[in-house]
Amino acid sequence: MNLFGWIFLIASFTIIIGLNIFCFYRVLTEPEEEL
Amino acid sequence: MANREKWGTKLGVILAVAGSAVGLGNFLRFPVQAAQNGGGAFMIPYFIALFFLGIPVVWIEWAVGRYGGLFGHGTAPGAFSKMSKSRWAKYLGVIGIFGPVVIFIYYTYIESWLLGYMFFSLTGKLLALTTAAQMQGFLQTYQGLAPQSNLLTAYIFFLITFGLNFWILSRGIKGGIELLCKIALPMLFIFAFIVALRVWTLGTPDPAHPDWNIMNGFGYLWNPDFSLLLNSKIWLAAAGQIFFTLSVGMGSILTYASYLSHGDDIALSGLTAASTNELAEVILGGSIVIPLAFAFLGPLGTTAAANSGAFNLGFITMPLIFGKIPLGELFAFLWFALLFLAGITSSVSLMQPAVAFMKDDFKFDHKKAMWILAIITFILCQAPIFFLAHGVLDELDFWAGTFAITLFAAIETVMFVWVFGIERAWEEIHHGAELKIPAFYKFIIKYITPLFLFAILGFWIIQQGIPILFMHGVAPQDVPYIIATRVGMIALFLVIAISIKIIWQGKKLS
Repeated sequence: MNLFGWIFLIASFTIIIGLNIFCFYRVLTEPEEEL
Repeated sequence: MANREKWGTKLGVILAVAGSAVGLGNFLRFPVQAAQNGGGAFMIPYFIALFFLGIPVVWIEWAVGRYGGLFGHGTAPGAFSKMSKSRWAKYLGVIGIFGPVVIFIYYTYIESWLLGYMFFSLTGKLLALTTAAQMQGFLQTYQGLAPQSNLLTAYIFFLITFGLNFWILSRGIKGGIELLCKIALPMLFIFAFIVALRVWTLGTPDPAHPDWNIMNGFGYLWNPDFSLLLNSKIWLAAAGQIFFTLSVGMGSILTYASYLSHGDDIALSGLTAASTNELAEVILGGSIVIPLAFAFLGPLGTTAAANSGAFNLGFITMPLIFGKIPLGELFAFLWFALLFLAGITSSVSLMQPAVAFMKDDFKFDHKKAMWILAIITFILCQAPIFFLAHGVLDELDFWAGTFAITLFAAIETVMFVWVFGIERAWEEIHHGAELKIPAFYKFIIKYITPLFLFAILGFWIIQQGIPILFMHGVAPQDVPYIIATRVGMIALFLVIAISIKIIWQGKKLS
């Protein structure tokens, strides 16, 4: 894998993991209530 | 209205929507699309499509569903009838019931193959096959396509899968779908992570080919080819992948959202479900098939496998490779099990719009709705099972799985943004929101998202729709089957449309 491959892999993984952590942090820190 | 079911928890609805979105495409279609369309460079249009097309349509579908639920409607006809004064609006929603039912008809059969392959992985029968020809022969025998083969085994697994789907649906939203997704989705992620971990640690499995290693496999998928960015083909491929992967345009998310209360959040929940789907697709889906194929088949073999289609990659190439690694039976089982879990969390979501239609609009009780739908869909499922060789499954897949969902997403977007109005739409999305959506999304939702959708629709009509409509390449002996399939689809569409007419006439009289 070349340098650009690594850059794209790391950037893509970071965007997705970051977005997921942000979303679940917000969901799980809101008080859970019966819908 | 007061008796409509509700989700148990916010996490439950997020996992149910994510379960609906995570499907076979995450693990099979995405890596092939990425590898064939510029590798890492594919991720540029992919992320643009995610943020400008996928996530806005997700918010639209959640908002339309929750709005319809406010009036006791869990499907598009009812929701549209409340968004527009035109008496024709409800008929535009027919596709939102028709599409998922037709997809369910063939999807449950494919799902049952995964259950069968789980079984054959554990017995060792599958991994005893050592060549692609043997594996292809096994699949064709299983499907009843090979000479002197029969469908008995496949049919038993289909009956189990079909029964399982309706058993889960019969338990309702909270005790059935939500419970399934709370168990199945974490299991799916664990299985996928175990398989991915095995792939990451494989190194160079064949010392005779030192270049055939996992790292170069990742390079095959991620090394960017920037020249392709000027080609419109990869932009459409990326938009198509985003569209398919998020399960928008099927009507399932709309129905799921209708079981929310009007004060419940949809902005953060929609984004969370979408990002969970992306986690499964890019990180896990991107880490398994292509790197593994590269390490065992090399660059030419991987290209050939990818060109043979995502389906062959999953059912032929992957078990062949698992046969070459220690504890291959276990990893093959985990592979088919994760695909089966991805399949069943999607298939139950495909049937729920029809369940909601029966209960909300026909006013049937749950048991009666279940029995009627089980009988009707069981009969309809026989066509792709027994006429697979005549192209019935592919025909259903194009018209429902590609054309209807794109058309429905376009209709839904226009209805919500242009007919209902962008100001009301924006307010509706933000009602009860636990996330403030950036203001520029108002412009994106109003102009960019519909343009994106119509571009995809136009492209698919020209490139695939016209040749398929005129049956280019269809063998003469298959033509009657294709025509019968189309007649069947038109009849189903008309039955739903006429039902809507009768229901609304009844409402007017009462």
